[in-house]
Amino acid sequence: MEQPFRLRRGGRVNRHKALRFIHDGRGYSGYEGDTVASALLANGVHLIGRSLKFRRPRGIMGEGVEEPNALARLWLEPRTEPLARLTEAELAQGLRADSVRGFPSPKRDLGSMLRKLLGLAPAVIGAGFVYKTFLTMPWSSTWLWNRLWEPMLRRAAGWGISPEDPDPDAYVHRHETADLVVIGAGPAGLAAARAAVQAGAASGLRVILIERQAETGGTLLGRERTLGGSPAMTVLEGWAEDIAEAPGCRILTRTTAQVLQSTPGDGVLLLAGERLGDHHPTHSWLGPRRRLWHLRAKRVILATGSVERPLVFPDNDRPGIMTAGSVLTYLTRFGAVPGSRAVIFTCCDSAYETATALHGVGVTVEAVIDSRSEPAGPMVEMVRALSIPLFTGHVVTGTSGRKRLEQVECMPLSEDGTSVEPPFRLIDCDLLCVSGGWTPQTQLFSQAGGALGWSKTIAAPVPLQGEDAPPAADGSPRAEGLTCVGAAAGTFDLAEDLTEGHRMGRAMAEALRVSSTEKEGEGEGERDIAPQPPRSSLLLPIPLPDQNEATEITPLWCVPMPPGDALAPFRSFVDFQNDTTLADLQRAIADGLRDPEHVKRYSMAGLGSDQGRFGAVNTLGILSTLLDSPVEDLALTTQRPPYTPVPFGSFAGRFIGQALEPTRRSALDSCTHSHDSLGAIRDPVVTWMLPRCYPRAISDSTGAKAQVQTGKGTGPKTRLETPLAAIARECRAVRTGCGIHDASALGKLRLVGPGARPLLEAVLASPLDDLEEGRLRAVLRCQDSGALAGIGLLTRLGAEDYVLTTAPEDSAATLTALQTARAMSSQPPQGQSGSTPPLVHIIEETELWAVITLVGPRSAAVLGALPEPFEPALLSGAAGQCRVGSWAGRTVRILRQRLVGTEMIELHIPTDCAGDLWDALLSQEPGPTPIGQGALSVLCVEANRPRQGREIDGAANPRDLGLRTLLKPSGPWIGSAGLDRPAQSDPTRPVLVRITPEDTKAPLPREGAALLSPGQDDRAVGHLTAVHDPVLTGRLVLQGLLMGTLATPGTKLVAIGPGGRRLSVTVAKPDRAAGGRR
Amino acid sequence: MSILWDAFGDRAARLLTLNAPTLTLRPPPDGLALWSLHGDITTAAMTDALEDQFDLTLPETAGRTVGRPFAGLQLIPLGAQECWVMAEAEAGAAALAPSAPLGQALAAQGGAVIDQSPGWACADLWGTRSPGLLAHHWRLDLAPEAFPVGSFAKSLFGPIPMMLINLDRRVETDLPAFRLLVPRSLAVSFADLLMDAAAQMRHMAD
Repeated sequence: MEQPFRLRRGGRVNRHKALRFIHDGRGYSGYEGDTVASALLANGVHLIGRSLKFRRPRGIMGEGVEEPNALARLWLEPRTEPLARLTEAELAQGLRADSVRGFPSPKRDLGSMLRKLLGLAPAVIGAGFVYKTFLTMPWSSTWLWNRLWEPMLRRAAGWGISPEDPDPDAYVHRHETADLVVIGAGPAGLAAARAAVQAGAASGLRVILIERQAETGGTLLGRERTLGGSPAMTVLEGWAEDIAEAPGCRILTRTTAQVLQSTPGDGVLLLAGERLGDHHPTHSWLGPRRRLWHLRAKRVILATGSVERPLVFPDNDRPGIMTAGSVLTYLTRFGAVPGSRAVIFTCCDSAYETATALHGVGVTVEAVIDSRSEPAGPMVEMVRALSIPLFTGHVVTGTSGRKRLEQVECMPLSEDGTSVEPPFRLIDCDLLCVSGGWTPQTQLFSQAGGALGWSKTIAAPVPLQGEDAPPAADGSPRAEGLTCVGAAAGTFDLAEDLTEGHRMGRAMAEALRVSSTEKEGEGEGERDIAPQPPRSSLLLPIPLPDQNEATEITPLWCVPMPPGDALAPFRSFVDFQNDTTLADLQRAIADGLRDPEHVKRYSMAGLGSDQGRFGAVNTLGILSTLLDSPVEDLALTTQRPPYTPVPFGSFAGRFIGQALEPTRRSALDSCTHSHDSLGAIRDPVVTWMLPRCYPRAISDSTGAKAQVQTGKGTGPKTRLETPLAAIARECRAVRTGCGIHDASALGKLRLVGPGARPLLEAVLASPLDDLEEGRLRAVLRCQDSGALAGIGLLTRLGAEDYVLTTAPEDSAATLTALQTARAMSSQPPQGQSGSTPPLVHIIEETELWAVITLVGPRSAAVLGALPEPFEPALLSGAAGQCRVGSWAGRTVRILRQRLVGTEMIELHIPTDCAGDLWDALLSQEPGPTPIGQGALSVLCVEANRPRQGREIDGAANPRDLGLRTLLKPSGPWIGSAGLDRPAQSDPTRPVLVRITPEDTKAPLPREGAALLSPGQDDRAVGHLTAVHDPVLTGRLVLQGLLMGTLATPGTKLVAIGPGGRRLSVTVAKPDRAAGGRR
Repeated sequence: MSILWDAFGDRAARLLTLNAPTLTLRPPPDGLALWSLHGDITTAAMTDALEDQFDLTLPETAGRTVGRPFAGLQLIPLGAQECWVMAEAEAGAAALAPSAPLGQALAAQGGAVIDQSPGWACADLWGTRSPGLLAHHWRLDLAPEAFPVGSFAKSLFGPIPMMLINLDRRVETDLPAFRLLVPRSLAVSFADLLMDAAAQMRHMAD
């Protein structure tokens, strides 16, 4: 029979749509609207896994995010979720769920058998077992831990297996702003949202209601209630429609608020994950799997409800033991009956409703066991009226059953409640419903900085709000903009929930309307506010429940252990997910731990994906007993985001792989002779993708037959040069002819105004005194420490008009330095009334101008041979001069320099017409040779010019790199004070030197290889910054930064080559061969 | 400035097909150009020069433009020291020439006029779903109350800097319409990101 434990009627599942699914290899069926957990219960499946340490059989205990046991690996091809909570996973056709613990299956678990064989009793493998055994014992070692014990223990822990294939799903983000966000669409949340929507309708209040489940209603989805004589869900559905239809308002179902952050005066930021595709079979869902909402709100109402706590007694973890509230939910919402013979064990009133409901559907309620001696109230009376056996002043002291609960043992409590007394009673049953009271869900409130206090009425932590809330350490209000209502605030009576939610929603709407009106009154008042009707008439009356639901509780943190059973504390579970027992807490206290945070880390109580929703408060209660301290003096352990586990993909969104960061493309990427059409190989430089070199197809005349690679593509295969050969060819072209380089990525900063020069003098380390209009020069910029930050080229276009060109890597930092210096110059020192500095405008022009560089002795000839020539006056001039003119009707700047030891003409041209000039230059016969970053780097090394990120490494100062002549003789400028420190003149500082290998045939070391001093016990004395193969330069060039005291030509050193091979090298004389005079 | 439109290429048509009629991408008007004025625009001389030149008064509220985006001119003040002018190329060039009164007023205080057109890519996004599409990566509030017609904002679209202008929608339709301006070098990355968002959006409600 399919679904033997499903009621014939009732529940909110769609019985017209059956869904097939597989659990641990067996096929089952359920209905649309089921969770996997409810479908399993309807099929009579209770054993769903094994416990973490003791491998005890475990079953479903809860109904939602609090569930500690029902974790499984879900498959909905091709998607897999390694550790899903079955109480939250919606059932889908074809879904497969595999238990994560239990080998080969939870029913026959090898781990459990081994534990028994090896005698690893709970008393042995309790809290601290792993660290004490594997890390601190004489036989333990880090080596063994890393290679043997940790992998083995992790595998045994059974926390799921991460999929190794790429995630097949897409995840998206969405930003939204609202006036009010209500989290939780239970009765209180719906009442609050509806009241806010009504009260704020005229002022266009934007309200967003977030609900974790697939439909609104919260707890009432699993309860049979009436409001004002109508079924409660009918009323609530009407409210939800009102909210959804209001302009600017929306309801997000299947959306879990994960992270909440409140900033005083700046509203609330909320991250909420929406499950778009989790419940759809993959083949029928093409959209993203999840959407992460970034919600910014002025106010947030938290109506997150509460969670029922289990009770702590020996063997309280057998399959078939569930919280009473969840049993009621499975019964009412899903029509699933978790057992046929039930016992209720409680210390509060709410569990009595479960007894009545079970009795109503034909389940035999064997007994209600209440630890209180004189429970009273309408629900208790109803149980008495149904003649259900009621044992007051009794507790459950044990259970039995192999893979499922078969029997409970109960005993009376002594008068003082500290012990149990004979006689004990055995009751046969297959379902034990437990209730230890309710804990408000304050995790989000706590995340946002809200303070919690202790309520003796409900025996649980509650949020401190309003006047009760203490200020933060800095005096600012805590959790500003947040308000808890309903069960989240510790109110468990439905009538109070609704009234409080309604009142709070209305108050929020009016507060927001007032603040909005005040704001507009201050501004230009463009927003048209319609005259408001009297506020009382805005609100419809709310129907109230027809029964009183107030619940009384006498907390029972732990059942007194039965006499004669010394191992009972080792089987009394406090935290089910981590197998933390009463004995673990006792051991923590015995080991000297007192703070709940320390006990949490020692015993793992409160850790894990359920975040201690079941065990944290019971842990506090037990600690208070063990420490003989009032429970209200103990603080609840910190609750951290996210609220529930979130797939990494959800946070990453679309920014994965190549989309991780944007790629900037040069203007010359979209012309006829684009870099791609020239066959460029690219390298990332900051966010640019710049050509490294342009390998060409090999012809017989290249002489590079030995160095070939095969071109990609589907067409005929082409033999291409290797990058090394291509760079070598490009270098040769520069030395003998003309190379053309796209330098558009250079940072270009324009400084205009009378304050331009003073600002540049304050920021740059090079003198500007003799820089005339129409001239340019290399300039240095230092960090505060005196270290060289970058080398730039400063061009003076006019009297108060400069352009500073920087390396792409240094562009942003230079702009920041200039802006900071400008801002600081406008603020005179404290206590002084300085004059206003002259005005300067700093304009970022990197995007506006492309730069085409011609390098080599034929540069001028190439430029002069253009079909549409430049004006002759523009082509004249010497190095260090700048001419501004026009080409094809557009402004062009021509800068001449020799920074790389040969003639270099920079053509600065607006980016929108740069492609035309590039194409025109490359269309010449013989035209210039395109050169990339690789060839340019070789040229810089040949010319002894330090390169950004290599020799300019953030530590070397200008003197270290031989740039003393470019420094101003005296300050102040940014870095001058740092450079004057003795440490910056220390003779041991690394300086730039040339290196010669003694064996030129030996494999070359790589850039970054260490330089060792054999005379100083192989002490590291520097590193190589450049290693150029003879094929590039015609000779072997090694360059490095070496300790200054050793930088004498002829000093013998050792460089570490490939595979750690030692290569003898010698410090060479300074190289001026390439004309690199500065 | 139509480089952004070019970056979309054939995909712009696909976007239209996927989401029509709720989403439309269009090239900017022909000849649209962008200049930045660098100078103290709060001085009386500058304010007068701007009024004389464009017959427009700078808005008092930050984040608002003035002008007629479809009639050839829009002023976008970016603070006390900078104002952008979006205009048809010829009209704008004449107005901002150094010989014009505005140019002279700027020169008198050491300011500058920079042609920003080459550095920016532009496209117009129309349709009821356009705010939803932008909200994939745009953090600022796009609701009409917070970002009314004529507003502009500079922020990030994902990791890409973008200027967004809420266009005057009364000219053609009553649909939301936005002008998107992104740095030219990032046009392709931006187009990829926007197209991806549009493709994802096809399968879900706003």
